[in-house]
Amino acid sequence: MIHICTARNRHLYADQLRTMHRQRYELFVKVKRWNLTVRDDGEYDEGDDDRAVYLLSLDEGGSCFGSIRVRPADDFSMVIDRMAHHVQGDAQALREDPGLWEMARWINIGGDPAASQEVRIGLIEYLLRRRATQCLALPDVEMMAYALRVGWRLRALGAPTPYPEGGIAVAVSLPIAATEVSYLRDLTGRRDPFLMEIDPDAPWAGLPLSIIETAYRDAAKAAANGDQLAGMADEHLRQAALGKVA
Amino acid sequence: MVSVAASEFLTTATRCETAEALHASLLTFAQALGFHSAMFVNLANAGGPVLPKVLLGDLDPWIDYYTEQNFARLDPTVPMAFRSRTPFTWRSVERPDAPRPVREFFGEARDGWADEGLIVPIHGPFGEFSVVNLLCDEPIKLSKPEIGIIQAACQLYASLGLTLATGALPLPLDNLPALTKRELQCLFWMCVGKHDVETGRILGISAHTVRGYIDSIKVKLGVETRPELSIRAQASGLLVPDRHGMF
Repeated sequence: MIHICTARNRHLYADQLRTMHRQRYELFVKVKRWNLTVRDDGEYDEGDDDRAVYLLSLDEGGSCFGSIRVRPADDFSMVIDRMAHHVQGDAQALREDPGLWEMARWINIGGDPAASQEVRIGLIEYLLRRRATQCLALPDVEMMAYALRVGWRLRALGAPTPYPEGGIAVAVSLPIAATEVSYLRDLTGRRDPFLMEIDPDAPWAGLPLSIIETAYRDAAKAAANGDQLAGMADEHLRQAALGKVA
Repeated sequence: MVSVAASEFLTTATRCETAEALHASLLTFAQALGFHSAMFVNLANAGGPVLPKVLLGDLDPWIDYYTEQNFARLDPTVPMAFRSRTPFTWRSVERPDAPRPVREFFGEARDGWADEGLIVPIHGPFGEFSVVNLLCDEPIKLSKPEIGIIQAACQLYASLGLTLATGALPLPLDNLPALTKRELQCLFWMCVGKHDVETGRILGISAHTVRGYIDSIKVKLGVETRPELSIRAQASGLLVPDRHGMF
């Protein structure tokens, strides 16, 4: 399942977000040696604000093993505001598209590749809901090559450009369209819904995430779409909150 | 110059709908840099024999001749492509004291094909090896950063080319060793250089437990040492970006 963590329900994910920032520190700062801001043993940047949405992959115990940040790019963007030299032409002109978002800091530590499929499909499905039309990113060449092989039809926005820490990155745009979702779902054979967003006002919102995760996983086996998934999981979790089921 | 050409190539290449159109755009890029032709050749799949096969590019008569003569057994660029992570030229692997058949092979290649070539090794995520050959009739005078950009462009060309020619990879692969999520997490952190204490701290478990997971993976993959484990994990697709991500 992919948990949609927004400013509204972020308090429910305090431990998972702490883990995510810690993993980002270990990977991007200590392993890749990127020059980034570190505090409280975690890596943070200007994009980690109230407008950030984290798509989180949790294991059965509720621990976060995968994450990616998506965020509207109209007021802040790594590509446009920090790395504009990776874009051929005027990077600011990208903002003429009101549906411009950006993804960054993708991590999937030891995750099953199925979880990555969920991220590749779920990210587009979520951004479609938010009326996005394209999503910027700045992957390393190896990552971009891999993403192309597994079905993300990324469009390059400039040349592969070396960065000071030693890699070569390419600014890209991922088209956000229903056709892309269909293509990926056909490619992978995945028909199950896997996006879930916890309503913090739900009576069961305070249950442990491991219980919520399990309820959604079970519901996903029978649900035909996201609405059914939410309804079935809600019903089960209301029972759980009342102590009627384990 | 290289950067502008690479930018134009990539913006076009990522919109190509056929392998032929993609290759034509690579050729335009290569010609802007002084090469006259280009070719994408698969050398071997993971653990398989070396069987060069042209995936994209003009089928020059030299290629048929190369195959008929089984020149892959003499061609020193083949083993170099397996060893090297960076592009290299024919001249850089051509040794004046090489055995006579090898020297004759280079002579025939120059007479029948091209004077010089830049070979860009492509190491696929599942242990497959291929190369992009860029050919020219002049000595190659490119700086290291320029060659880095060419390598990146060729890597993306290879990825796009494979996707157009054979389709995208659906994943998940079902022929991988069955490791638990915790084992995969320990394996990943070990392979990026973390010792057990650090891995334990990241995962919230003891170093002793981390060691137990690593030992269990070694048994499952049939290896005895951690370096062997790292190589096996890489070659078997256990460390593809789907299992660690990051950008």
